[in-house]
Amino acid sequence: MIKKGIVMCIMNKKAGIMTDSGEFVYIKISKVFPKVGEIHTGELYNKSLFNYKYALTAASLMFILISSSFAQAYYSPVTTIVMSNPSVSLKANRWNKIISFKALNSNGSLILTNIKLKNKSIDDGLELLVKEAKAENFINDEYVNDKKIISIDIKGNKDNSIDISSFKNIIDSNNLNIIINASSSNNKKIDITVNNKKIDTSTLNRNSNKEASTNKNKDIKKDILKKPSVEINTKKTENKSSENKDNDKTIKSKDNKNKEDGTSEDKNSNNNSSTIRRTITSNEIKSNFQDNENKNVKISENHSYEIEEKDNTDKNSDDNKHPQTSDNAFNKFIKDFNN
Amino acid sequence: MNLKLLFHKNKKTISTLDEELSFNIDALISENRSNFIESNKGFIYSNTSKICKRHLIWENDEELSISLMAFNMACDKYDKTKGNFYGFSKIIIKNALIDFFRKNKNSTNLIFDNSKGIVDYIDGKNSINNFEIQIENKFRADEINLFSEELLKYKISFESLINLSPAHKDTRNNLLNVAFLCAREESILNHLKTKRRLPTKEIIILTSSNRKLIEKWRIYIISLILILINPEYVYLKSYLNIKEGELND
Repeated sequence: MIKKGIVMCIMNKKAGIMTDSGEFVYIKISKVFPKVGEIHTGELYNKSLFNYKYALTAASLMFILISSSFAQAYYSPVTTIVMSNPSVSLKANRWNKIISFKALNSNGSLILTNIKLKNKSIDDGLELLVKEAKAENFINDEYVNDKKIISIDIKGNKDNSIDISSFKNIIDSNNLNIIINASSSNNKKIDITVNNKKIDTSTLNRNSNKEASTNKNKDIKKDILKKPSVEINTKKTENKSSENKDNDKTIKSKDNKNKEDGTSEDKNSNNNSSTIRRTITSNEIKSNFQDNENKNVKISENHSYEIEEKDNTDKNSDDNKHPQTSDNAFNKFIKDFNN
Repeated sequence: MNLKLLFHKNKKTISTLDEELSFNIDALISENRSNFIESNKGFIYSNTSKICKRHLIWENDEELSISLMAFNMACDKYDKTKGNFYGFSKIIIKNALIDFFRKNKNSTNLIFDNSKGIVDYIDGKNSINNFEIQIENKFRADEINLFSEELLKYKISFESLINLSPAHKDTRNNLLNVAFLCAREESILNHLKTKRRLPTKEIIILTSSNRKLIEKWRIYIISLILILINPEYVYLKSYLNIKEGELND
């Protein structure tokens, strides 16, 4: 609104005027600078402009707050990935972006000097690592022939799902042996997905997992939650699988809670070229120092897979209730890898 | 080309009009005065009826005689430093009428007039030049300085006045009437001048208005009263477009 009146006082960017209709208002001072006593015309000074400054500062404060909290979230490691030989440890945030990386031996440092991993996804990072290891001649025919295994340990302290589709592709194309151990603290879940299909879902315990994957012959104490470890061997591992059969562990569990469940299931299901042997033992049996749940999946094909899953029944009570569904999931997974 | 010619013609006619009405200082000498007033009766009438907002009759209406007296006074007081004579006399007439309304016990309602743009015939003729505007501005600036000093005695600054002035038209007209009624009462003015505050109770009785209204717009009412009662604020008072309104408003 345009007002006209006698200029009574002048402030920074506004002039107080008295209009002929008896109003006392502020008007904006545009190009012409008025003098006191002049009749001046100008746009009404908007009072909301007062709040504009405050709104601006509040907005900028909010922006700083939000951006800093985002940065904090971005740079806080959630998942730790340790790859062995070449040994490299990666730290990733909740969006599965690698935020820091460290070499654990000289081979690892040699690889890391040549590639940039920062802000890449875990999938891309692992792929790059393998490619670089190939280029540096750490992974070659000899490596494959010696049946050396790349082991990848994934630890997380939050629910997370990690997609490793392209990593799987490069592993497949190079016929490498690989063991993936997913573990987490605080009963958090880590899903590892390949082409949007889950291949391993369980709550994993950090301490027991190492034992499970490394010291397979050891008995595992009852109060430690056992988590499945998945071994994915993309090379012929006939010999190895037979070894593993021998090494099927006995798991001792003295869990009183689950004593009531008294069902045991033995399941043998045959797929075309695969046999899945699965044993689900009740806690009563567990208390008698028997296997909790053993699954051996053998696929005699060009590639053979061995999947070993040890489950504690109190963790995955669903497994007891619907053993068939978990079997189906396993078949799916196997088919996946056959592809 | 035609248009240009038209403009030329217009300019010529305007200049001739100016010449006709060009003001001669000799006319103000007391010997020629009566003739001069006689010839400017139309000017006086139009100004007065504009402020009173009604048709006036020379024989009946007191307002016209007030205006005549004011015009005569303007002739006495005028000198060349005060700019255009017609502008000056208009201001004097207006202020005289406002004072008359103020003193007149059975005065009618007053309003701030908002209508703009109707440029008088006489205003057009006496177009004010830059020099005259500067002189007027100087007078106004002096008045404003005086006014602000006086307001400070009442602990009012322009800032607080601007922040606490009503925007709504009805409120402003209401307060103008309150201020007018107060400016007429000697007792209220004395109270205001000595104690530097409004005698709220008396005003409520006098104007039969709301206590809240008086208290809320205290600053505005005080400054209006100050403008109205002080005879020094000639330009400020005349700038306010005060008109006689209908009683029913």
